[in-house]
Amino acid sequence: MIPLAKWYDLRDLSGLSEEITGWIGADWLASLVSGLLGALGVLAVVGPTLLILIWVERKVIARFQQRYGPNRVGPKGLVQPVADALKLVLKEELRPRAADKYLFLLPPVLIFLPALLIWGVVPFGPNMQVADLNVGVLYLLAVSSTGVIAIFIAGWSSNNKYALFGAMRVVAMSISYEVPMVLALLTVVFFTGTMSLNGIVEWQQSEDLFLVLMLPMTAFMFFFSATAELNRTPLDISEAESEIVAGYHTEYSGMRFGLFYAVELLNTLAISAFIATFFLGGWWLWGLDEWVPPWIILLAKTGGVYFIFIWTRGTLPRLRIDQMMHFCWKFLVPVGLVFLVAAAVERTLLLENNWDASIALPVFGIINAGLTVVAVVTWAKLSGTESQKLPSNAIMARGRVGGLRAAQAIRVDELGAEPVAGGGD
Amino acid sequence: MSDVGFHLAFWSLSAITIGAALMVVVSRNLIHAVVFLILSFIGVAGLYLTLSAEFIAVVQILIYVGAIAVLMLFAIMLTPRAGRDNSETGMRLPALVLMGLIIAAGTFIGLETDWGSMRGEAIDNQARIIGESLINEFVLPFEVAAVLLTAALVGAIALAREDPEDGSLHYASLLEEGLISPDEPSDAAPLSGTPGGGD
Amino acid sequence: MTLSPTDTEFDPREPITVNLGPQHPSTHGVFRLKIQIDGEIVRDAEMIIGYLHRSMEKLAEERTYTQNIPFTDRIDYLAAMSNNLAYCLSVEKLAGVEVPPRAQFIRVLFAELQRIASHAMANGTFINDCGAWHTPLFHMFREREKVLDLFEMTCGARLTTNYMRIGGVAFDLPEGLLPAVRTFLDEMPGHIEDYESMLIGNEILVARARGVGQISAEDAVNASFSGPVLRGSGVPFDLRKADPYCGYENFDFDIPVGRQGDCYDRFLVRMAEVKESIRILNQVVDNIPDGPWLTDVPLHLRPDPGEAYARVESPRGELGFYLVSDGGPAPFRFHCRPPSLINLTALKEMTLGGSLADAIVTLGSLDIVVGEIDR
Repeated sequence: MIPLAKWYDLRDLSGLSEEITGWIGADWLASLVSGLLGALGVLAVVGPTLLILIWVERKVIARFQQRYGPNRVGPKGLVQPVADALKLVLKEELRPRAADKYLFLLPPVLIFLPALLIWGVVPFGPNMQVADLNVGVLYLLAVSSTGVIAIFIAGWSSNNKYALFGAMRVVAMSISYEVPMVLALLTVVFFTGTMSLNGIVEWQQSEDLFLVLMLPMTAFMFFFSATAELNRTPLDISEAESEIVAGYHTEYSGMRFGLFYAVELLNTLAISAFIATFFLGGWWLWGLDEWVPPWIILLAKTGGVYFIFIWTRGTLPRLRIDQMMHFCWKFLVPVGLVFLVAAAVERTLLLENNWDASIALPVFGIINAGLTVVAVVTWAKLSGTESQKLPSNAIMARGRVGGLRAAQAIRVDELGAEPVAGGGD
Repeated sequence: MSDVGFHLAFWSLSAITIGAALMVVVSRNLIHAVVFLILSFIGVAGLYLTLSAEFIAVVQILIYVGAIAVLMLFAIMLTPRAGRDNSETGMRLPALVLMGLIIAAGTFIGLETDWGSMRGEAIDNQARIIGESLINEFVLPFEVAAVLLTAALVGAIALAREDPEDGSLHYASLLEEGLISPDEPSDAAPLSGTPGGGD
Repeated sequence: MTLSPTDTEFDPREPITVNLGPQHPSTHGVFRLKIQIDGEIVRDAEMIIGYLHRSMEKLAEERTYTQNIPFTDRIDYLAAMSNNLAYCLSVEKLAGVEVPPRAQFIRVLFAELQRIASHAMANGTFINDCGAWHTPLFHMFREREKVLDLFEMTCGARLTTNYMRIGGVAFDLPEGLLPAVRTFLDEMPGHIEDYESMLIGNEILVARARGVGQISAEDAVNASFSGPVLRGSGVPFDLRKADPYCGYENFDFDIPVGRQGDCYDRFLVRMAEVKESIRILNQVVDNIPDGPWLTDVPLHLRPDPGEAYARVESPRGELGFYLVSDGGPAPFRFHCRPPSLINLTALKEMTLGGSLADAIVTLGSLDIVVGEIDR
């Protein structure tokens, strides 16, 4: 490891707060100030990244759709997010007269809190976290589950029955998909033996592999549940104006709506950072983190995962809500439990018998990959719907033209159906 | 423990918790009451944090705010006439008297009990200790609680489930209901005068 | 008792009435649908039309037959060429006007190009209604743009073309058109393969559209359906084969039909029809004769008193024009048989028992244009 010169060496900013607060006498004041500094630092990185990522999302989706995307405002459209934010700030903020006066103002604020709080545990480097909690994973789950309340209150306080229905559906989906999310993270915790996020990254560093290679199905489960929690396609019923007549944020205008929108993007960025941390090694990249500042590595991985989020958004159509629930409760939860047990068994075997990790872990990885294949194939056989087994092309009526009798003749020939005995004229 | 920071945290968190709890009782709107209850839950979680019980604090947020508060909001929302003012009741005087007695008794007990002193230092691996004690010493209550929750879950589903014939999205039941015709050619005679002059 | 959102008492156990439209991102125009839903299941559906009524049929009675041709562009604004064709065929039937062969080939060329453009839009918006955030729509619009460029090359307009005339077409084909059409026809099969690989068999699309909005062949025939909706139910009835007009009997093509009459079948039928249109177009471009493109017809055509009904297979179904003449320069009665309106009459049967999302998908698969519903 190259020795670090001074605290302004960008490769390690962790000593910065100690340097700055070293002269403060009281312990509690020093920790308070350093916490504030850490939070400001995170915001300073996350804020501009958010603006850039809004631009990236719009451009990438546009390219998926064979068009250019914003390119008028500023060079290559880079000022577009700023223009959007400015527009939202300048808009009139309406409030329905019959809406609850205080409860109506609460949800935009309330939904912003978890979005900011979960950035507190993201490990940007070996010593670079706002708070290295021992229960970091649990903190992530707890804080992200409070966002659901804000959606609920938003739907209720709009005094609009359709907004309430929309909010109910979104809340039902969110709390349903929290279960596979918890199971996925619990599997990760079992496998690595620690709930602290920095500990998980260091486990991957010590074992020299990415966790996604060991637990592929878990990574998919977490990714999919995150898609549901973030209300992104293919699970974005809350934004499907073509399906529900209103959504929970219908009555919000101006910057209040802007906050909902910003929170969705901030949450997506945060979840991408978490996927990068849990499954892709976080700030560690086989020694590259000694040359390149580790937070740049993490941001690069976050950007990669964010691209996958954008990719699924631009490509896949939307699932109906009963199909979403079916997938959650009948596939993700049982498979999650199977993998939980598998991870627990593997970890116990590893610890109790003191096996050599460099041999045992690849074997476990192969076993897990095999379990994944078995799970998917079994589920497809058991509950793949009948429709998938039908052929996927139209029948060509070779030269036949006419009405019902011609239709029946086609059925007899092409589909092998029984001819109707003695049909009419 | 007799830190300025600790006192600051403790007194502000207590003020938040008790103030929110008071507002739960006092507010007239049911949803307002639930929101203040959530605030008091968060205050309690903060108090756990001041005792360095970080696992319990996070679990408090996860369970109480993330699950129980949502449950309460659902229950209120699905109840008709939930927006009514819930302060019109004739039981105010008896309630006040009862509360006065309970507060008196509680204060007396609180002041007279010898609470003993707490451990001075924080426990490091709380999750492990809690987990081990749940499996070793308290396994019976743990399993009983699990069975109870499962029974509640199954009971709720059994009570709330609709009759499968009473409207469903499946092709098979639509078929039974006669809303769509089956795939096989029907036995009905085809129309006379099919469009286009027939075949 | 059904509740509306202005009721103060709200009991979630009662069915509620949801009003879709007339301004709505996915009702394909100003179309209003009142759906009564019970939880998620549709119990009743009532449609209210008339928001786009422009009294075209009355206005047409005061204009000459040639002046009515721009009107027909705007009846079904997504298939202007088909409208023009149907109207001109009807007037030619009424007045007994012969159309030269080159004009017939040109008419078939543009009718099939219009079918490709319209089906690109229909399938694109259908997948949009299934929730695919515009990506397939924009891809299909790429092809539609090429077709619209060909239209602009010929008659100057992309959407409301006003190209057919009584007795032929308005202008001859410009010099670069046939090579441009050939280039387009060479590229199209590659693009269609892209779409097929992306969309056909896409699990989410199949899950959203299979079994949704189903109507059997008997019910479809009873309800006077036509077009891809009828063929999706398995009935191989296509006016180009059953009642050929404009020289279609000389071309070699097939009619695709579906199996069970659900939204996915209609989607497949439209995709296959695009391929058949390309087949027809190849034959047209190879065999187009030279000669006049417009018969000489007086400016104020005064057909003998009588009536005539001519119909074409527009991308939406059987589009017919019924004209009654009383000997004057303007028609006495001008009536358009809109396929979208007739196809809509069975919307309630198709959406009952499904969910609200399915109702939207069904409406998208019917491919309605409100301009021809309301005229």
